[in-house]
Amino acid sequence: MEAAALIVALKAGDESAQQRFWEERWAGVYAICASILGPGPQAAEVAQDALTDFIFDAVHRLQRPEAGQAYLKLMAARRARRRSASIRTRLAGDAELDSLADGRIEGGPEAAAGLALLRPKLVECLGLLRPKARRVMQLKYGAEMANERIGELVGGSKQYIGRLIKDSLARLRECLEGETEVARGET
Amino acid sequence: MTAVDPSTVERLLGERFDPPEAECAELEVVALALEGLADEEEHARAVGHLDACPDCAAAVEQLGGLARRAAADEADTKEGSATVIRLPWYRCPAALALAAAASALLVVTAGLLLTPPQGVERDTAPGAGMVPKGGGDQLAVAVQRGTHRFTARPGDRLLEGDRIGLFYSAAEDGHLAVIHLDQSGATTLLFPAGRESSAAIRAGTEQPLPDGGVVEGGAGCEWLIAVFSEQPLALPAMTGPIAAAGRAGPGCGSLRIEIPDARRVRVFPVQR
Repeated sequence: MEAAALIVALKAGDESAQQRFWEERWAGVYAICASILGPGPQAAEVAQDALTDFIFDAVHRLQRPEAGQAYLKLMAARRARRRSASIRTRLAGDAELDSLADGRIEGGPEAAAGLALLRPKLVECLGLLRPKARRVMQLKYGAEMANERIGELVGGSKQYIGRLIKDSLARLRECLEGETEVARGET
Repeated sequence: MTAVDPSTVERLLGERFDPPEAECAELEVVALALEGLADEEEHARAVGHLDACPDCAAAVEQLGGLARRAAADEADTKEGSATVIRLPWYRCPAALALAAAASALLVVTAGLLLTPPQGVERDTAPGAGMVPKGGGDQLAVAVQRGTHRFTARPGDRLLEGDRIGLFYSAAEDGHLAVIHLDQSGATTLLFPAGRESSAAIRAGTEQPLPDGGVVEGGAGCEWLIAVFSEQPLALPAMTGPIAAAGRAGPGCGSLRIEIPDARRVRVFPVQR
């Protein structure tokens, strides 16, 4: 399938096209983010979000499918630069370290250290979900949307979205615990 | 195995995802120009937008830098590898006009890396800021290599014997000098050749300059620098800051030049 045809399939909400687009574009988008943020979880997070937002949101605004490839690269570069700036700001004032030192993080320093260890792994685990499941988790936990609204946006009843969230949470938990390998794209 | 509480997963997810981000409204037209697919009106919109939007300009420059590095290191280039970005302006465009459009866009972005010259007037009235003074000032470079003619792109490699032609675009009348800078800091006035100050130009699009050059042996990064101004500038007032220009980043593309009386300074990097 040519790039422009793939964009058209994404516009139609074709789930196999979403998966294929992700697999074909991941390396390039990650490379752009890594060139700005350095290789690692930060670059992977930004690349995941750029790809997800492109597949489920930006693609519907594109008037010329042939602009899609450059559009996605620009999205990735802009977001990685913003993340880089926000990291610098955070390092300048490092509120998290300050609150850790003050013992203000819920559960104390040990809980905070445990979470810090899990964060990079969460990025890796999210990378194993199908694009639609990742989008649902993003809308649920990032935008804090109700299941019914998520279903309207990505397709599916609120019951279906509820099941998808439950399954995804279980798989993420298994992946984070490191006990079970999550098959790529299973959820 | 480390047990992970379900509420911990939800807490991590809450921290992981940021609220949705709105994309720049002009991103598609910039993307079209990068692909060499923009028509004249879209190209003008893209150029105008890059002058007004530092985020988009920096993103374009970032992608251009990746493309130049990939092109310079072709031996390591493998399709599909995580380290390779093959960007569209390195493909052969279907038409020379489109190549010129993509090239002009990159000239703009290279220029945007410069520290804005002091004294540049910008119209800050509401709704009037989209076209800053000097915003239409551009430099384009044509190359004849043997019998093959093409429009050079910033970061292109020039070979010994290449003949270079220079073209400018300007929205308003003014003065222009084009100066060559090499890695050692040596400058050569390409246009107006043999003069001691910049020359008057008329407003126009892709106007040919009478002076050009033939590329001789060299190595590393070199730059063609167009200095647009309202009044004629003496040669030392331009060559001094240019020779002292500092690199604003790695690679050939980023130079930091401040010429106080310039309306606009455009930098066209080339590799040797």
